[in-house]
Amino acid sequence: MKKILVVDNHSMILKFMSDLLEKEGHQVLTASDGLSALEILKTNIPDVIFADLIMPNIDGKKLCRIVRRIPKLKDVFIVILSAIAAEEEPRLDDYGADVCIAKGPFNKMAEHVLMALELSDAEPTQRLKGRIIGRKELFKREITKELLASKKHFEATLNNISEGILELTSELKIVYVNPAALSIIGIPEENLLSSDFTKLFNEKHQKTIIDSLKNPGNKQRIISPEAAVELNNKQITLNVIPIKENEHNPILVILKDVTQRKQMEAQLQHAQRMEAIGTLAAGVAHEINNPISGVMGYAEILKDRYQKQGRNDDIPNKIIKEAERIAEIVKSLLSFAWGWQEESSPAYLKDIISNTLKMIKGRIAKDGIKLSVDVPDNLPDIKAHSHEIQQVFLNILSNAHYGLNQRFPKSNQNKSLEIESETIKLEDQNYVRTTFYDNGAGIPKNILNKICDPFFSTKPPGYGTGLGLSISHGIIYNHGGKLLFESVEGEYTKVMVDLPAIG
Amino acid sequence: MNFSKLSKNIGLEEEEYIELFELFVETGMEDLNKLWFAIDIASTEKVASIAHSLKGASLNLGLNEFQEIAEAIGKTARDGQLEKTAQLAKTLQEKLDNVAGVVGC
Repeated sequence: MKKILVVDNHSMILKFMSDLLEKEGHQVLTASDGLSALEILKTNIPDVIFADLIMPNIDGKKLCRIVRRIPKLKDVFIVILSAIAAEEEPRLDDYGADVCIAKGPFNKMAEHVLMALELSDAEPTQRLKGRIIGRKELFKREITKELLASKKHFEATLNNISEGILELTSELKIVYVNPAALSIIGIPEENLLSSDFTKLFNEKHQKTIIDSLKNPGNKQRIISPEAAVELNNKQITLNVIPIKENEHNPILVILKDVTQRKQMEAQLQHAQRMEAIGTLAAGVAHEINNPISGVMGYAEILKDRYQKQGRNDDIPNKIIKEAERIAEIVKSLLSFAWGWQEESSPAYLKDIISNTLKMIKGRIAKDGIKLSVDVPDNLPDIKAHSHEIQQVFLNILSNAHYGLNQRFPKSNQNKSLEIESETIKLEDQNYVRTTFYDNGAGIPKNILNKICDPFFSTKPPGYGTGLGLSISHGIIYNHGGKLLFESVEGEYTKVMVDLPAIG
Repeated sequence: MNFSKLSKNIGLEEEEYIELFELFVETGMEDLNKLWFAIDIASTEKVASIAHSLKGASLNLGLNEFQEIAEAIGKTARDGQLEKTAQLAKTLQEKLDNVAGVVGC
């Protein structure tokens, strides 16, 4: 006795097959489409599956492919029941079916079904693949051929379109995914089909998704770029189109990956914010410089008076020292605000990195940090102010050093810092990218977009002014480059400095 | 309907044949409803697809007359002759209504 699953959307075929196979002493399970068949296959391993080719909610081809990818079902003997075998020779190997039976008069079909069952008795390795039984009883039908051609045109369009397209049942189960959607979602088709679409999203976005899918007015709903939802670490917009049909009411979902667009918008916003802060900083610096000159002048007068009076008091010197500190901060603020003023000259990045490392290498080694540097000799030159780029690198390395000591206060084999340079192409322009990767304390997600703001610092008082990265940002921006950050708190920080290459 | 002859042609017991025939009528009626809807909205693709399903089921049971009408429905729809399609659908409807009375659907 064999356990046999028959999948066909026509109740007459299901009845005919059940009667025929049960009469032969087999146990028969039936399903009216691919989706219900997958449900049955979750708890049953049949010996043979008879599947119709054209069905709603996951067709026969797709069902076969999925079955073949499920390890426990890989040896199931699959028989395709095809009414279009005369018009289109089924490519059984492509979707992993063993035999195809051409649908026809029931007396002929009965013979062929039993013949297929005999073939299924052979060992999986001995099976004769790709056989079509009963094709000669069928006649070519031009109309079907035309239908198949038009189906192929739609398939080619869906396979090559850049938007992700999914079809869901009214219960929100996925029954179709095009290649673009598969690449956006990043889950293999066999795992995706028959699963709940809403479960692809994190809890935060699930309600938005359910609201847009289950709308009583049956109207098209759009989740726009402004309200983009997260899917597989990508920013996604959705266009939900309910299709009204007689019995099924499928839902079409069009996905668009807007991650890059959102990143560009964020960068633009950030640049605008930086520009505004720069203007403000220049104004503030100017306003502070004048009174500071006054404070320093009066402190000098006080110092002279004390000397004349023979008083050995250090207070005027302390005032001068603190005022100089303020002046230094103001100077830094201005260098953030001013931007590019002097002429830059060709510079060789490897030299800049090597000079920077000379300044910090000792401290890095002392704290047991493993340093690896991979900077190729053939990097193109960059047009830069070497000492300014050096200042940026020093800032980044100091932060990495601090972050590594935070996470690993003592020596640790994972306490490492990597520096790597390479040539990359961005929008037709060559850049030299230098990546600083440390597996230190990392940066919390909620402050990642603030770290370049002037005076923003997570370090305790006395460990930094909060100007290091804002100045670095200004320098790189004025060099026509980009300063990019990627970090996972408690795991790593990756800082990428992209500088335009000459030529 | 001569079920005895039809069932013999298709190699089934008469009783079995009638059971399948009842299902044929039942699904045929549903298909016809869909067919009228598709004709109303002038969806020739849909008409051809439904006609294809009707033709397949007729072929399974050896019902040549139904098979021929279903085939003609598909062809006229593909040729854009929806008036003819509607006439053929009407003929098919009448024939199905008649046999539905015979088997008590």
